[in-house]
Amino acid sequence: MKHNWLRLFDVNGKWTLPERKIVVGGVEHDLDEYAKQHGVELPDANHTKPTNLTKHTKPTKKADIEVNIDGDMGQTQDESDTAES
Amino acid sequence: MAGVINVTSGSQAILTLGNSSVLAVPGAAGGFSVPLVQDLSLSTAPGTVRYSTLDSTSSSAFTTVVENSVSLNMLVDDDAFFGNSAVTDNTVATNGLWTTSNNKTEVFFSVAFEGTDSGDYYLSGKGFIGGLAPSASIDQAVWISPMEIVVNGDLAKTTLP
Repeated sequence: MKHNWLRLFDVNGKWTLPERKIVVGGVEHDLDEYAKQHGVELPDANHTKPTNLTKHTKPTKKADIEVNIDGDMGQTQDESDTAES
Repeated sequence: MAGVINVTSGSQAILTLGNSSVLAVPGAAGGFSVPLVQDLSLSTAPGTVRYSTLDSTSSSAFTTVVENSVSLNMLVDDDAFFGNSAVTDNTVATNGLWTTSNNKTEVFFSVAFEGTDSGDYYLSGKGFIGGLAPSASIDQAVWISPMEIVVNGDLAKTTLP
Protein backbone atom coordinates (compact mmCIF):
# COMPACT_ATOMS: atom_id res chain seq x y z
CA MET A 1 0.00 0.00 0.00
CA LYS A 2 1.28 3.44 -0.93
CA HIS A 3 1.27 5.98 1.89
CA ASN A 4 1.13 9.47 0.39
CA TRP A 5 1.26 11.02 3.86
CA LEU A 6 4.94 10.04 4.05
CA ARG A 7 5.49 13.00 1.69
CA LEU A 8 4.79 15.24 4.65
CA PHE A 9 8.23 14.40 6.05
CA ASP A 10 10.93 16.69 4.71
CA VAL A 11 14.25 15.54 3.22
CA ASN A 12 15.76 15.43 6.69
CA GLY A 13 13.03 13.12 7.91
CA LYS A 14 11.33 15.84 9.93
CA TRP A 15 7.51 15.97 10.16
CA THR A 16 6.42 19.22 8.51
CA LEU A 17 3.01 19.77 10.09
CA PRO A 18 2.36 21.28 13.52
CA GLU A 19 0.37 18.23 14.65
CA ARG A 20 1.14 14.55 14.16
CA LYS A 21 -2.27 13.89 12.60
CA ILE A 22 -3.09 12.52 9.16
CA VAL A 23 -6.26 12.04 7.15
CA VAL A 24 -6.68 8.71 5.39
CA GLY A 25 -9.93 7.81 3.68
CA GLY A 26 -11.52 10.92 5.10
CA VAL A 27 -10.77 9.84 8.68
CA GLU A 28 -8.27 11.59 10.92
CA HIS A 29 -5.67 9.39 12.61
CA ASP A 30 -2.79 9.86 15.00
CA LEU A 31 0.31 9.54 12.80
CA ASP A 32 2.29 7.31 15.15
CA GLU A 33 -0.64 5.02 15.92
CA TYR A 34 -1.52 4.65 12.25
CA ALA A 35 2.07 3.90 11.26
CA LYS A 36 2.32 1.30 14.03
CA GLN A 37 -0.92 -0.37 12.96
CA HIS A 38 0.20 -0.58 9.34
CA GLY A 39 3.81 -1.52 10.00
CA VAL A 40 5.24 1.66 8.51
CA GLU A 41 8.61 2.78 9.83
CA LEU A 42 8.56 6.55 10.12
CA PRO A 43 11.58 8.61 9.00
CA ASP A 44 11.68 10.07 12.51
CA ALA A 45 11.24 6.72 14.24
CA ASN A 46 13.14 7.98 17.27
CA HIS A 47 10.53 10.66 17.79
CA THR A 48 9.10 10.59 21.29
CA LYS A 49 6.04 12.37 22.43
CA PRO A 50 6.87 15.32 24.67
CA THR A 51 6.39 14.46 28.33
CA ASN A 52 6.00 16.77 31.30
CA LEU A 53 9.15 16.18 33.29
CA THR A 54 8.51 18.74 36.01
CA LYS A 55 6.67 17.45 39.04
CA HIS A 56 4.53 19.73 41.10
CA THR A 57 4.53 18.67 44.74
CA LYS A 58 2.60 20.21 47.52
CA PRO A 59 4.95 22.33 49.65
CA THR A 60 5.60 20.93 53.11
CA LYS A 61 4.94 22.93 56.19
CA LYS A 62 8.68 23.25 56.81
CA ALA A 63 9.16 24.74 53.34
CA ASP A 64 6.34 27.19 54.06
CA ILE A 65 8.11 28.29 57.19
CA GLU A 66 11.42 28.73 55.34
CA VAL A 67 9.69 30.84 52.72
CA ASN A 68 8.26 33.01 55.43
CA ILE A 69 11.63 33.37 57.10
CA ASP A 70 13.31 34.34 53.87
CA GLY A 71 10.50 36.68 52.92
CA ASP A 72 10.41 40.40 53.55
CA MET A 73 7.72 40.04 56.18
CA GLY A 74 6.10 43.23 55.11
CA GLN A 75 9.25 45.32 55.09
CA THR A 76 9.44 47.94 52.38
CA GLN A 77 12.41 47.96 50.06
CA ASP A 78 14.70 50.91 49.91
CA GLU A 79 14.00 52.69 46.62
CA SER A 80 17.71 53.26 46.05
CA ASP A 81 18.19 49.49 45.71
CA THR A 82 15.90 49.26 42.71
CA ALA A 83 16.41 52.63 41.09
CA GLU A 84 17.81 52.33 37.60
CA SER A 85 20.92 54.29 36.83
CA MET B 1 3.01 0.17 -11.69
CA ALA B 2 4.19 2.36 -8.92
CA GLY B 3 3.36 5.99 -9.22
CA VAL B 4 0.41 5.67 -11.60
CA ILE B 5 -2.61 7.52 -10.28
CA ASN B 6 -5.70 5.43 -10.84
CA VAL B 7 -8.82 7.58 -10.74
CA THR B 8 -11.42 4.87 -11.11
CA SER B 9 -12.35 4.97 -7.43
CA GLY B 10 -14.30 8.11 -8.26
CA SER B 11 -12.71 10.21 -5.53
CA GLN B 12 -9.33 11.11 -6.96
CA ALA B 13 -9.70 13.73 -9.70
CA ILE B 14 -11.66 16.56 -8.11
CA LEU B 15 -12.19 20.18 -9.16
CA THR B 16 -12.95 22.39 -6.17
CA LEU B 17 -13.99 26.04 -6.44
CA GLY B 18 -14.24 28.77 -3.85
CA ASN B 19 -14.29 32.52 -3.40
CA SER B 20 -11.13 32.19 -1.30
CA SER B 21 -8.05 30.02 -1.57
CA VAL B 22 -8.94 28.29 1.71
CA LEU B 23 -12.35 27.23 0.40
CA ALA B 24 -10.77 25.90 -2.79
CA VAL B 25 -8.51 23.38 -1.05
CA PRO B 26 -9.59 19.83 -1.93
CA GLY B 27 -11.89 18.47 0.75
CA ALA B 28 -12.17 21.83 2.53
CA ALA B 29 -15.33 22.43 4.52
CA GLY B 30 -17.46 24.74 2.38
CA GLY B 31 -15.51 24.01 -0.79
CA PHE B 32 -17.58 23.70 -3.97
CA SER B 33 -16.67 20.40 -5.57
CA VAL B 34 -17.96 20.51 -9.16
CA PRO B 35 -20.19 17.44 -9.61
CA LEU B 36 -20.77 15.14 -12.59
CA VAL B 37 -17.45 15.88 -14.26
CA GLN B 38 -16.80 13.55 -17.20
CA ASP B 39 -13.24 14.54 -18.03
CA LEU B 40 -10.79 17.07 -16.70
CA SER B 41 -7.74 18.54 -18.42
CA LEU B 42 -5.05 20.88 -17.21
CA SER B 43 -2.92 22.80 -19.66
CA THR B 44 0.37 24.51 -18.89
CA ALA B 45 1.71 26.07 -22.05
CA PRO B 46 4.90 28.13 -21.99
CA GLY B 47 4.89 30.81 -24.68
CA THR B 48 7.86 30.68 -27.01
CA VAL B 49 9.38 32.97 -29.58
CA ARG B 50 11.41 31.50 -32.41
CA TYR B 51 14.08 33.33 -34.33
CA SER B 52 16.59 32.49 -36.99
CA THR B 53 20.07 33.79 -37.51
CA LEU B 54 22.41 33.67 -40.46
CA ASP B 55 25.01 31.68 -38.58
CA SER B 56 22.77 28.74 -37.78
CA THR B 57 20.94 26.19 -39.85
CA SER B 58 18.35 25.67 -37.09
CA SER B 59 16.04 28.18 -35.49
CA SER B 60 16.48 29.16 -31.88
CA ALA B 61 13.85 29.85 -29.24
CA PHE B 62 13.25 31.51 -25.90
CA THR B 63 10.31 31.24 -23.58
CA THR B 64 7.94 34.04 -22.67
CA VAL B 65 5.09 33.57 -20.22
CA VAL B 66 3.20 30.41 -19.26
CA GLU B 67 -0.49 30.23 -20.08
CA ASN B 68 -2.42 27.94 -17.76
CA SER B 69 -5.96 26.68 -18.13
CA VAL B 70 -8.30 24.00 -16.86
CA SER B 71 -10.96 22.49 -19.09
CA LEU B 72 -13.61 19.88 -18.49
CA ASN B 73 -16.88 18.45 -19.65
CA MET B 74 -19.69 17.89 -17.22
CA LEU B 75 -23.31 16.91 -16.98
CA VAL B 76 -25.27 19.97 -15.93
CA ASP B 77 -26.29 19.81 -12.28
CA ASP B 78 -29.00 22.40 -11.58
CA ASP B 79 -27.60 23.56 -8.24
CA ALA B 80 -24.03 23.69 -9.51
CA PHE B 81 -24.98 25.49 -12.72
CA PHE B 82 -27.63 27.90 -11.50
CA GLY B 83 -26.64 28.26 -7.85
CA ASN B 84 -27.80 27.12 -4.48
CA SER B 85 -29.10 29.88 -2.22
CA ALA B 86 -28.86 27.55 0.77
CA VAL B 87 -25.08 27.78 0.58
CA THR B 88 -23.97 30.91 2.40
CA ASP B 89 -20.24 30.43 2.96
CA ASN B 90 -19.05 30.09 -0.65
CA THR B 91 -20.38 32.58 -3.19
CA VAL B 92 -19.30 30.45 -6.14
CA ALA B 93 -21.69 27.72 -4.98
CA THR B 94 -24.34 30.27 -4.02
CA ASN B 95 -24.32 31.94 -7.43
CA GLY B 96 -23.56 28.87 -9.52
CA LEU B 97 -21.21 28.42 -12.45
CA TRP B 98 -23.23 30.37 -15.00
CA THR B 99 -23.70 33.52 -12.89
CA THR B 100 -20.08 33.42 -11.76
CA SER B 101 -19.01 33.20 -15.39
CA ASN B 102 -21.46 35.85 -16.58
CA ASN B 103 -20.37 38.24 -13.82
CA LYS B 104 -16.72 37.61 -14.72
CA THR B 105 -16.01 36.91 -11.05
CA GLU B 106 -12.55 35.60 -10.28
CA VAL B 107 -12.60 32.26 -8.49
CA PHE B 108 -10.04 30.19 -6.65
CA PHE B 109 -9.76 26.57 -7.67
CA SER B 110 -7.85 23.37 -7.08
CA VAL B 111 -7.49 20.20 -9.08
CA ALA B 112 -6.92 17.21 -6.84
CA PHE B 113 -5.01 14.43 -8.57
CA GLU B 114 -5.10 11.75 -5.87
CA GLY B 115 -8.05 12.58 -3.63
CA THR B 116 -8.24 14.40 -0.34
CA ASP B 117 -6.00 12.37 2.00
CA SER B 118 -2.88 13.67 3.73
CA GLY B 119 0.04 13.93 1.32
CA ASP B 120 -2.10 13.85 -1.82
CA TYR B 121 -0.96 16.21 -4.55
CA TYR B 122 -3.08 19.00 -5.98
CA LEU B 123 -2.59 22.04 -8.19
CA SER B 124 -4.27 25.31 -7.35
CA GLY B 125 -4.67 28.82 -8.65
CA LYS B 126 -7.22 31.47 -9.50
CA GLY B 127 -8.95 32.44 -12.70
CA PHE B 128 -12.14 33.08 -14.59
CA ILE B 129 -14.83 30.61 -15.56
CA GLY B 130 -15.61 30.54 -19.28
CA GLY B 131 -16.49 28.25 -22.12
CA LEU B 132 -19.88 27.21 -20.77
CA ALA B 133 -21.93 25.88 -23.68
CA PRO B 134 -24.67 23.57 -22.43
CA SER B 135 -26.31 21.38 -25.02
CA ALA B 136 -28.97 18.70 -25.11
CA SER B 137 -30.70 16.71 -27.79
CA ILE B 138 -33.27 13.97 -28.01
CA ASP B 139 -30.52 11.45 -28.62
CA GLN B 140 -28.35 12.86 -25.87
CA ALA B 141 -31.11 13.47 -23.40
CA VAL B 142 -29.12 15.15 -20.63
CA TRP B 143 -27.60 18.58 -20.56
CA ILE B 144 -23.87 18.47 -21.07
CA SER B 145 -21.54 21.44 -21.01
CA PRO B 146 -17.86 22.14 -21.46
CA MET B 147 -16.22 24.57 -19.09
CA GLU B 148 -12.89 26.28 -18.92
CA ILE B 149 -11.02 28.14 -16.22
CA VAL B 150 -8.72 30.74 -17.71
CA VAL B 151 -6.01 30.82 -15.08
CA ASN B 152 -4.83 34.20 -13.87
CA GLY B 153 -1.19 33.68 -12.86
CA ASP B 154 0.66 30.64 -11.64
CA LEU B 155 -0.45 27.17 -10.71
CA ALA B 156 0.89 26.01 -7.36
CA LYS B 157 1.77 22.43 -6.50
CA THR B 158 0.83 21.44 -2.96
CA THR B 159 0.30 18.37 -0.81
CA LEU B 160 -2.67 18.11 1.50
CA PRO B 161 -1.96 18.33 5.25
